[in-house]
Amino acid sequence: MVMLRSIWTLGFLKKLVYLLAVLCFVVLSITGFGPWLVFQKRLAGYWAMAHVTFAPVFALCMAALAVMCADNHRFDKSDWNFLSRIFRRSTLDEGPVSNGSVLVMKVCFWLICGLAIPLILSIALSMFPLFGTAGQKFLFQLHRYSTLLFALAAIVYVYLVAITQVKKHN
Amino acid sequence: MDFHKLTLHLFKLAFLGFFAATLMCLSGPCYANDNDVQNADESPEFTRIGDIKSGNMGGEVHIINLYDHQDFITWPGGEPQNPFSLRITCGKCHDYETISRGWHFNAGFESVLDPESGQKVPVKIDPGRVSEPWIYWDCQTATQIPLSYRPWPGTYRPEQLGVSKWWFTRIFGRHLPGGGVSVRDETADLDPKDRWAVSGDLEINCLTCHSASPSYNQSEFANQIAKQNFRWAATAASGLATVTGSVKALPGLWLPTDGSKDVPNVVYHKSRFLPEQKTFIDIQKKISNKRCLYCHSTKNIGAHTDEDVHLSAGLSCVDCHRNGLDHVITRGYEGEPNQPGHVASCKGCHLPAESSPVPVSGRLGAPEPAHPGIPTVHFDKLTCTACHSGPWPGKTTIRAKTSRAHALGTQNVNISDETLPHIFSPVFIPDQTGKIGPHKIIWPSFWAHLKGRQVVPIAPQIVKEAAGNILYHKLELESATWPKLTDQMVTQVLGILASENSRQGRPVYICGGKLYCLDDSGKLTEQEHPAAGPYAWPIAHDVRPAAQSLGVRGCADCHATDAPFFFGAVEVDSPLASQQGRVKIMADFEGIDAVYTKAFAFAFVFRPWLKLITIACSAVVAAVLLLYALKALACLTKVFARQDNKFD
Repeated sequence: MVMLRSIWTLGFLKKLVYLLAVLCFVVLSITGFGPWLVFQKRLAGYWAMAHVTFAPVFALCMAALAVMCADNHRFDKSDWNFLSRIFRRSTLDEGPVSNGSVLVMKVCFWLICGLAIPLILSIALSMFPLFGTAGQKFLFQLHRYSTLLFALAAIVYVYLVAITQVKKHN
Repeated sequence: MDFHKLTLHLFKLAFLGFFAATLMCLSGPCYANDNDVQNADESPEFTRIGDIKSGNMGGEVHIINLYDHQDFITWPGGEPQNPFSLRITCGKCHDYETISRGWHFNAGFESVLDPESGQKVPVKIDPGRVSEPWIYWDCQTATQIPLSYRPWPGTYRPEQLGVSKWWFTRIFGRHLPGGGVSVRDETADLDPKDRWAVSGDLEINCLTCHSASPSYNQSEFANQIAKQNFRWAATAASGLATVTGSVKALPGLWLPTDGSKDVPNVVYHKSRFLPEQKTFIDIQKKISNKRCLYCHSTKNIGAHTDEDVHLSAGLSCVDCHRNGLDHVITRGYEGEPNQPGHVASCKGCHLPAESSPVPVSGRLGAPEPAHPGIPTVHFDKLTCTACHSGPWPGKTTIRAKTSRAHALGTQNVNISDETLPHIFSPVFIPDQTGKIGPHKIIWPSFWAHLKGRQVVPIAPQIVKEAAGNILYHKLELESATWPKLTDQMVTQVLGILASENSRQGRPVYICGGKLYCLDDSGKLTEQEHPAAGPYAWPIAHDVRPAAQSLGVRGCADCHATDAPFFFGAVEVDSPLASQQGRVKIMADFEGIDAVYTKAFAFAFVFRPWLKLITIACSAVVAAVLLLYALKALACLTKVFARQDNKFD
């Protein structure tokens, strides 16, 4: 009973973190890309304040998701077999074969984790007196472009998660 | 080549050199060197010998004759001993006409006489960035108003206050280098109150800047201006002569033949003259700082400020504020027209040039700033001076006195810190580029007529005459600061002005950022008006060292919830007793929403947490990545191990 409850709690917590992360992602995307795409202006004012408010929450969610979901997203033999089939056009029965979308989801997950580091550190480090003007510009560009890739990976990942969930329910 | 031929060539060269030197000496009174002669031959005919750059950095020694206004040599043995004219004396070797259009002389320069047509041709001088105005003040009428011949927004032309060019020279000539408006316009109608006929013109006093003599006395120059001895001022200041007498005591239609004990009298000091009626004038091409600072000093009341860091490093004002023959001095602000980019601003020396084919930064040893930890958005929104110049901002603004506004350096000046005009510093306001920078401000205070939305000042003399005994008499005023003006007094004066001349518009009084006028029932009302806003001009100096720049202690220097940069109190100066002690917060001047600024500053309370959380989170993510990367590596090693076993 205790075991069941703890699993349920963990599942609920995971869902909560997922939802919070998605919410933060949406807000950060709007506040981050919005001013430039809509007004052709740099992030400033209340947009910046909202961005900075949601950013640490998102960072926490990212850390929590990395810890909670990393093991589920590790690559295994089925993924290897799937790749072998594609690249070697093998039809031999080499054991279980992964679903293509699952593989993409896993790749996206690890991309998200990998990109989260420059994404977060580029801003966190710029707040310390370590980098001069050239360094600040580099960090800002790093934040920009890692955000872009991160957003692409996150969109694909969330889409695949949603599709998987819908399929599961059907 | 044999010995005879060599001797002949040497002889020819020596003869040519002697001939050239003789030509050079005959062409002007300056002693010049061989390089000047060579260049003179190559240069256009109209270029005067003193205006040719010889390339010799040693400078020229000026042992010259002094010429009076009628082009006669004047010296201790001459009779009469007239004051010398620098227009004539310096004009022998230098192009006075070109120089007279330089920045220090061209305010009010509106037209030139076309020699061919005899007509005046309008000339447009770029007023450039707003700067310190001339401030006309009068305690009795509680007036302080910024004046300028340059069309800077917020300033008024002196004529609007009944101040003619002669009177302008009389009032402000103490800190004017002469020329421009201080010289009678022969083609204009003369105001009978002007006394050009007796005072003479205040020609450009080249010595104001170029004298290197320790005996040159600018204070004496100011003294002569106060005596209305315009023509004699430069001579008296030069230290070459003593001038007694005062034009002020002479009637306006006085003629030399009338005689008077008050006629200015020049006595040249014999010891300062050499044979051949010449004298040594210690002239410097590179102006010393004290010459500039006589007119451009600031006293920050209650704040200790060191000398500008550039001066402390051994630079001089003219290292940055350069000019050519035209004397159009580089003012040094960003976007200054007609200035080469690599010299024109702080960036010019301190940052690498973006488009220059050769490196031009680091001039004069300027260090390139690292600005560690400062987000680049600051450089888009702030001027360099915002963090580096002026007094360190405090909880409230401080008062400042400047040479030009407070006649600093002149004799018998009121040195009280309370004396008008009241200047406040530093106030952070966006400049013409939209970047926020430190400014000095004054709150205009004057009587005016309101025509539609336009405000036309009333001359203080007219107000005094109209007000009679309502306003304080000069003798009733204890000091040269604001009188205790009551609402009732303003109401009464406005009532009288309204009854005297209603056709000129509705009489109003502007002070403390508000416009006061009488409503239909005769009650005093206040309203906002652009003309009532403060007049602000940027602070460029004194530049503080990097270790004393804003932000050196961290973001909280500006982004704390009580940081003076955003939340400092700016005194709203008003002579109205009911309005004294009012303040506004700095954010109101910066054009930033005060609520947002407060919220943004409050966010900085959590900034350390933000840093901690984000770094900790990225560490966790990195640890997970590393863990699974190692696991992947372990798998790989296993795979390779299995393959090895297969081969075995």
